[in-house]
Amino acid sequence: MSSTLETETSVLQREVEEICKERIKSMKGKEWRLYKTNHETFLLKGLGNLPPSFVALDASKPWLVYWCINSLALLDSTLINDTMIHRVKSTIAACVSEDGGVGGGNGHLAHLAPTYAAINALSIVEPRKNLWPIDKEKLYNWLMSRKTSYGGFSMHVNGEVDTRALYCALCVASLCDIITPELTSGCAEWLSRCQGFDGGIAGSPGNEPHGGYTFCALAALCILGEPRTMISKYLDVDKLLYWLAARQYEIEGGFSGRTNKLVDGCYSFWVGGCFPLLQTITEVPILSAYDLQKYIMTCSQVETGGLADKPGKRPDAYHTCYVLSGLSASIGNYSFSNGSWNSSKKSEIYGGIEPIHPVYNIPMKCYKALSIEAEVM
Amino acid sequence: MSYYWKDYDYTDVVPVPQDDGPDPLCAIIYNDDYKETSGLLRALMKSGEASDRALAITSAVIALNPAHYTVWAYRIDILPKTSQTVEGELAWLESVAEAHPKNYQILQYRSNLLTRMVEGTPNINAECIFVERMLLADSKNYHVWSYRQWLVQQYGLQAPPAIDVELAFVHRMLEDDIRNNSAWNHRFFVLFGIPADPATDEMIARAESEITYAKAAIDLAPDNASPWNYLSAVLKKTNTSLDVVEDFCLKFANIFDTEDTTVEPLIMSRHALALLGDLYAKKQSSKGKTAYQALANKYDPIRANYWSYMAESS
Repeated sequence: MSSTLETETSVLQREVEEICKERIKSMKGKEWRLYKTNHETFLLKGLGNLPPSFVALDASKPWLVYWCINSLALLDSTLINDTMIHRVKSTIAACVSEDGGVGGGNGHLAHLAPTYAAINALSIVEPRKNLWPIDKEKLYNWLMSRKTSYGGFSMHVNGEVDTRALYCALCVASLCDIITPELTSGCAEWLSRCQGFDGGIAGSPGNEPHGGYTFCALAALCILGEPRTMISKYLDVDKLLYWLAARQYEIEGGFSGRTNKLVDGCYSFWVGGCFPLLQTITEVPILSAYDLQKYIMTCSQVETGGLADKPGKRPDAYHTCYVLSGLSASIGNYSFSNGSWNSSKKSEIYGGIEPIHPVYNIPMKCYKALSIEAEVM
Repeated sequence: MSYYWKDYDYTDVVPVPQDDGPDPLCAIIYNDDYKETSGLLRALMKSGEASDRALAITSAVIALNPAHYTVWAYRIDILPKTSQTVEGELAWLESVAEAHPKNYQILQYRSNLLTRMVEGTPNINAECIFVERMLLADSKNYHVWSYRQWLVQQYGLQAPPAIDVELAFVHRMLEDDIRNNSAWNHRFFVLFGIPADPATDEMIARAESEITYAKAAIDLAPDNASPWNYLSAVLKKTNTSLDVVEDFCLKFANIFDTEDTTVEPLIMSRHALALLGDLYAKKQSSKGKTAYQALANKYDPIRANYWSYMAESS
């Protein structure tokens, strides 16, 4: 290799590589398995009473519930019992806003992100949609009120317009069976303008490409129509694939969220979760699942419970949810046919993890149960 | 004015307590300050009060939890009815932003403030200084860069003479760290707009000097993905043939230079080899496949699946 100018980015990158190298070495010869019981304990604590330092998440209550419940469901945990199901529903019900959406807490303005988290959490615990504490008509009117004239959505009154907001709106509308041409018109065109110079997709046109926004845009396109057709029509697929593949780092095995940024466990899903959607086009696997799993099992998993950004960081509910979802996405074999997504059966690898629905990020079996109930109703 | 909440009288306000319903999940054990201020806030919001003391309460709650978007939305609505000036508000915002750099709400609020409260063009220079100060602490802060892009779009900073200010700013950021992809993105946005939109004549005229700019950056650090991506993006946007960078790429990946197979090729940058792969694949040359296979087998093994897919489809 030739000489290269060292900068802050390259120095930090080298440091993280060294830390990961050490960690991977220390795990050599040990079996990779999920510390399921410890993760369950960690997540149960996350659903319980939280110390004052959690005040920063006071406007994210439905998120906290979703991250923990989705993680438990992916682990097929028996902790999701009748009492827990009831508590999920009543906790969400307290966050429902008068105008039909869900807020970050009781009395908070309706906001697309907690609305998405709430509908996902409800989908996991309650297959009978008529028992959700949601007024579909009011919700629909509120979703329409979030739509901008140019095809994007704003998170809340006076809120930001970005690909996350659009993805959340479409997921909610789709899961609540209130998606209409009025709601979706202009969305795909707007998303197309969010693809950035290096191939990834940004929060809004002109911003820097980012893993989280890339997943949101791709998954939104998969709701807007037949995935293969929509992705090919509205995105430069060659550039996108190149950018996504470039997110995986050789030494760490995990993904970064942007060019020249550090690896972070949560991108196991935000970036890793793009590949099942793109496999409708590539037909063959693109990421190195083995290397990603190496990062997850050795660098991200914390033996005492929970999963984290990178070695040395404390685990939290957010990272636990997205690392486990990413692990699931990297194991399950996904396809789209006859208008619906299918996955392989539950894998027993690493102690067992449920396949996710690659668009909504809830366990596939919960999604399938929903669909059946909807037909009966 | 400081608008410190304890300077005001709230004895006539009956606090509205938090109501999470029975046996809630993820209930936060709030400290007394948060309990007290958010109880007053809920009461004032309920009655729709627009006053200095209401503004003071929003400051107090935001200081404890700046992610509380409902408070921000309330604050911007009542602001015109308080004694706070736009300058005072901007200064207050700056202090909040510095304390909470990763927050989503602050810069969204700042953009709302400029469009709603300032007639005509705000003090762009002050905004640019604010952005640069924020980037000193975190040079890749996503919200701060997005805010700068909003300023560019909203106030036409991609036109002369403002564009020179933008380019000088990006250049300074890249001098600090040539790998700062946020800065490369901003450069592309300022000069070439949105990749999906068609190029203007002005953009096409910029191609040559920007190719030179990217090449100079690559010479400093050939392993740096950002200027390689920038180079590809400029070529694509301006419909320039990849051929113009063939010799440049061969400098960093001489795999096709020699007929002698016993000589170990010198690959100084896998990005160069990747671009050569695209260049030759486009011309239907078998060298494209050779480049992709070399990446899969030897020079970029973590992406073996990807490069094999590229080799198969080329």
